[in-house]
Amino acid sequence: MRRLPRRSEALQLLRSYVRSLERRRLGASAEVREAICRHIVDLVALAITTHGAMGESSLSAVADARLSAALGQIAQSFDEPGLTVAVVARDQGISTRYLQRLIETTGTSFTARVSELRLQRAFTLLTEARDGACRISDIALQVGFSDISHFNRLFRTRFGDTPSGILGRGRRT
Amino acid sequence: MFNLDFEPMPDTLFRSSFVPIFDALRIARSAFSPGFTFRDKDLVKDGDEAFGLVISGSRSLDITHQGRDLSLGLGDATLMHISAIGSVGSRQNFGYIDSALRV
Repeated sequence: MRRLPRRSEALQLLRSYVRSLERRRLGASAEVREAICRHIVDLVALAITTHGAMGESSLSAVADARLSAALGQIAQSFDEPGLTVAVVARDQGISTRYLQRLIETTGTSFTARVSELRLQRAFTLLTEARDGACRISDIALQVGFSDISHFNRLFRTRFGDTPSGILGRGRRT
Repeated sequence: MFNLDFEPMPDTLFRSSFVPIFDALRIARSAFSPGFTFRDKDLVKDGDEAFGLVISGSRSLDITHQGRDLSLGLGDATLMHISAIGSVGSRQNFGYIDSALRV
């Protein structure tokens, strides 16, 4: 029996992978469950045997755990205006290009993913702001947009209506 | 998950929580009041032969297993053989994530 130190990169990835399982509460298919089992066993094996940094490993368990950790960070901090791919890559200890490649495997880009989360949150806030002393610019800032006209443009493209249109609809109902 | 027993520290109220995370590998997050979870010679007769990975959720987690003592800090981990007797605990409130791996 020996101690696997918390600084072990594989153990850090494993902890982050388990946290993401905990957050998502997957009612996963047999295929997905099997993949999760494989990833965890691979990460445990790495934690036992790897002492140095794993770099940009192509091992699926490592890549998946890195992606999961990055997506978790994005989901938690998308409303910070300063969130960039470089910030997330630095926090996860990987290169910007590698993080971009990982996120592209989900069928979207870093920017598109962050924008989608911000727009969805803005939509929710606008539809909830029925009685209110609520300004669209405040909501845009609150969800992480620092440029209001950029927010308006993206919002209209995404939802087919302007933020003020959604806000007005909410207030009328 | 595993068959475990618990020995509380004297004069402490027993409290525990248990949150399953992923059934297929018996991953769960557990927390306890001061004391020790353990598997003794009777419990290991259940035939469970998996390896247990224990990730400490406490600043100090004391482990006794296969004749050795080990102390884990927050985020450290170790592997234990579930078919061997051993204990995991602390004199403070403690918690850990464990899972069972078959090889």
